Amino acid sequence: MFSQYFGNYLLTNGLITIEQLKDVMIIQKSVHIKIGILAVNSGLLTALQVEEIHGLQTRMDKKFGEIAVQRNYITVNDLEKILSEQQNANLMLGQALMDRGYMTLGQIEDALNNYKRDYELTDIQLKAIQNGDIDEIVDTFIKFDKVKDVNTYKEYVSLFTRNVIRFIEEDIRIESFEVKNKYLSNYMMVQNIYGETNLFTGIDAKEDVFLKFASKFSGEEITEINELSIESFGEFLNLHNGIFTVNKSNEGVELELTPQTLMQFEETPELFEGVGITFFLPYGEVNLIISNSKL
Amino acid sequence: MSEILKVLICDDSILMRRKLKESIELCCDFAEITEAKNGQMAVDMYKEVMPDLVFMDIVMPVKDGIEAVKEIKLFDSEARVVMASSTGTQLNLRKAIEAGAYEFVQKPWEQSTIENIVNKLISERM
Repeated sequence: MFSQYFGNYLLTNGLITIEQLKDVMIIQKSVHIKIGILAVNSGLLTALQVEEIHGLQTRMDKKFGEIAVQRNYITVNDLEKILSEQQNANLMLGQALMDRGYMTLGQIEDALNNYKRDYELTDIQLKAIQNGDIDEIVDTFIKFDKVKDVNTYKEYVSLFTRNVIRFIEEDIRIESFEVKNKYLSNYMMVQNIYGETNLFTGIDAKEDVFLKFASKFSGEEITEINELSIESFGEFLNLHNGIFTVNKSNEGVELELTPQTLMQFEETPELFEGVGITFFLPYGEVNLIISNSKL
Repeated sequence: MSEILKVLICDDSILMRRKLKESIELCCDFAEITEAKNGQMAVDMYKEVMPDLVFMDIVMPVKDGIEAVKEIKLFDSEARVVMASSTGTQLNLRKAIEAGAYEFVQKPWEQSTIENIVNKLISERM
């Protein structure tokens, strides 16, 4: 995930061209290795155990490694070794930039220092982002200026980001965008959360991205807007909101959901304290809109 | 119980109905499955089909799953209705128990969960 941010930073600051960025991202992606494969490769887990953990991840808001340790399949030391191996794979972006002659080591170092300065990051924060710490990424890149209940919004956005990474795409980038009073949708699934907290939630995409996203989630190739594509896109939102309500219930906050509905090229109801986040996927953008709701 | 296991699946999502149907067919090749897409349809179809087992979503348009379970249990106190929902909150668990649900399954489910429920029903009915 960090490579998406740093790569974009290099591009927008004129340090590399878009062609160079595409080139190194392809190289870097080809060596990004998932924890499950690393664990099997090192004999720490069997393929069946990996499959079991992936299944549990769909119901629990926990990382792969956490579940593996909880179930006593691996120790904490084993997990640290695997994570360190994966982290080395993430350094491939810098390596690729140098191997291709696009940047020198000194230029990469300068760019990293400027990145830290521009985003006002400490070394610890930068490390956390490089390690894919979603909470740190949300804290750094998403603005919650208009919101009173910042903690709830942050929880929601962090969980949503983790669920996108788990169920849809691993290599993503998220950024805030300004939400005015209303939002004009493309194909947008909306669902209200109500109870001790009231939230309007919606995910929106243009047709081609909508279909790819729905295909990814359903596990089936969907090529047109139909009942299946609409419900797949909506079911992702429903699943995510369901996990959110269960997490809140475990904290003693009881929430309920309305059924999901589709908004097509319509304006949303008025959004109070609206927050917009764009998820940059390999094939396009999906917007997440959250707002205080008068429901 | 007849040799056929009659199952009613109620969920407003065609994707979820399809996945649940696949799960049931994987563990039971003598299942006869009918589908409903909201709570009202579920109540109407229950009265028509008298299934051995029902899987019911909670959050649905027209009539939610909790209301549907209450009506089904009023009609047939022996009805076996499994709540299958993404919102497994304390509140929903309580409502499901009070309504007379047989089991509660948090979506997305594991295949073994569906197998256990089907096997439990079969052994109870023997």
